[in-house]
Amino acid sequence: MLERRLLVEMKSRRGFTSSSGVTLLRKILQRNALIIPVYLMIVLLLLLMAFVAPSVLSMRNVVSILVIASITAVVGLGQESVILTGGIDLSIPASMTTAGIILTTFSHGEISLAWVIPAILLSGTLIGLINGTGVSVFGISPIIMTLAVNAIVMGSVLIPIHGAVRGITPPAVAYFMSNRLLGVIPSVLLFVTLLYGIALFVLFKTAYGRRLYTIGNNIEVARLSGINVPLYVTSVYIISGILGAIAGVMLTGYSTYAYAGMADPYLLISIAVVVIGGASILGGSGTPIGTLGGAIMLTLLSTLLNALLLPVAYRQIILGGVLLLSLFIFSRKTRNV
Amino acid sequence: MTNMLPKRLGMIHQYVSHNKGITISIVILTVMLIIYTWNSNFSLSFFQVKNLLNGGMALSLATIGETLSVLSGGLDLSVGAVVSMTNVLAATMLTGVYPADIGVIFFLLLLGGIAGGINGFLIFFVRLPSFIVTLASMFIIGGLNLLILPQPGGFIPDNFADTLSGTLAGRIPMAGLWLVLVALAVIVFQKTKLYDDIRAIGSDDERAYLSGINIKLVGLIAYALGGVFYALAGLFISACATGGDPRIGEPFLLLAFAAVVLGGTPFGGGRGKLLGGIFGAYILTTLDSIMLSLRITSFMTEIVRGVILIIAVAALGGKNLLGLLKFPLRRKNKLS
Repeated sequence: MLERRLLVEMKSRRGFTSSSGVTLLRKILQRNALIIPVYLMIVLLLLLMAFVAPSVLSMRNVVSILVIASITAVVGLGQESVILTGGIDLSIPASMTTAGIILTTFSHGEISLAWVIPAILLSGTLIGLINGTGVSVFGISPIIMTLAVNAIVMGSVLIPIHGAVRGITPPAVAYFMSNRLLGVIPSVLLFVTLLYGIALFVLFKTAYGRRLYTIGNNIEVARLSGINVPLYVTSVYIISGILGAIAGVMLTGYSTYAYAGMADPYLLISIAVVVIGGASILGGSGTPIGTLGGAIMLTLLSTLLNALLLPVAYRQIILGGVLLLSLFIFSRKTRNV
Repeated sequence: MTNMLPKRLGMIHQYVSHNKGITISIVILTVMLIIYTWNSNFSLSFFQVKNLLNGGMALSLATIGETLSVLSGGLDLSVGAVVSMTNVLAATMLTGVYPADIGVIFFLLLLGGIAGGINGFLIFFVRLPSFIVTLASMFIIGGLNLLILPQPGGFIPDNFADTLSGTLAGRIPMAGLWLVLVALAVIVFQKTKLYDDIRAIGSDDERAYLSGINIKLVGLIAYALGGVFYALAGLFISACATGGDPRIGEPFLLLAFAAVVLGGTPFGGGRGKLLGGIFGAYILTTLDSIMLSLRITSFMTEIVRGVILIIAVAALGGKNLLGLLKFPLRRKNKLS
């Protein structure tokens, strides 16, 4: 079985190098084909909004939709890097909430931000490191490991503050989320654009990025071709932890306070945007452009549902339905396990 | 008589070597129970015993359901949502009038089976990965629960609660009777061909297919049956809580996983025993009671549960990294 898989892999590689022009073109087309549906959905949703709730589509509203989408886009990017390798990160709510609680609890003035922000990034790194070690060194299933770490971190964060989150967002962070450059462009959008630029460069132009795809496609092939799989797998969980922490800061900046359950919806949302963006939940395929589209689409969808005054329960049901639908399109397995 | 003894020991030895996982969990449970009784100076009151039995019953049922999906090679994240669904529906539909209530109970069990069956259909017929299907259905069902009962409320009639969690003749806890009944049902089920088929598809689906098992149907039945057990767990927790709460099932997600592994069933499918789920559930319940009597905060309880889950999974199913961390469990050919 393994030999056959290796042979297929090698054959496809040989094909890739020999007639690289045609195959590369086909590859790019294939990659883009998977992200077409999500951008079509965005256009469709915008048209629907123009009919159902035209008032929502003012310039100011669209900009603030993009600001909310940027938080989702950041966690989505972290989740995608994990999903690319065939894993999953269910501890994103924990890294987001930890970041929010550290931010509001410790930052009394703006000066203290100088050490609070590094401390927050460190907390994300630590959560990712624990996840990655459990998954790659101890061989624990990613679902179980990250689910358990989520519970452990949520509990540990609440112990020192006795379950009550105090303090408010420091003005500098709130300013970062509400600031509009030249009166129009939110500075947070530039930040997210930069982040996605880096992600695209790393994934498609560096050996590191391509190795992540290799691991996701076939972990055995990756191991045999000399990739240090545990190191790479640990690194993606750390990336996810750090991006989760950054998103936690952004969410706290947006809502001006933090609380224990603030990031719970992001457990599903972070996975949904990756799957909607055309990545396979089984790993090995997907692009950040798709995830960005997924983040925008989901935010548009929830804005539309808000405009229709539907309760949160419906949003949850529709989100689950959208996830199932995109799974049906992108993640069907050829074999049954 | 004297000649019988070595033979008996041999049988015990054989049983233990064939059921290492379940034996280890029985040992852990015994140790836990000893610590619990020692903690209350070796004098357990009737109410302590009754509370322990009641507390573990819902988790046992949920764990049996979860074990079915794990044995079939997958995972079911929707356990908590189905438990909550049964609870909110029970709190709004049960009236306390007997013949009508029996209809409601069967309806709720059917609903649990349908929820599990839809998961099973999507996993085995549409061929989607189990964890993501059940993650989506967890959120969909959770949303439906919030529509049925937006905040805690409703009520559970006394006669229903007494039947499940009350006391019989003033000295026998009903939960004990139900526990024996469930255990017997599980033991009987473990003798059926369906149970072997479920383990076979979890062990090696290709070989199961070649040996003539209808993989898709068996997988669907495993999840549907799991859903029925979640509904039973939901009924039991309703009887204990005497009200409805759309979030009542949330802790079950982590607890059921931990209980499955503590019951000697590692993730990955094909290995382990359904009956072990009951022991795993009671290990966790006893631990909760111990922590409660030591006045440990609820945040700490959550941390302990998470740590136990990680340690148990690493010890039972993880890589043999340190040699010490792993119990001597070897993967066996379950088909032959």
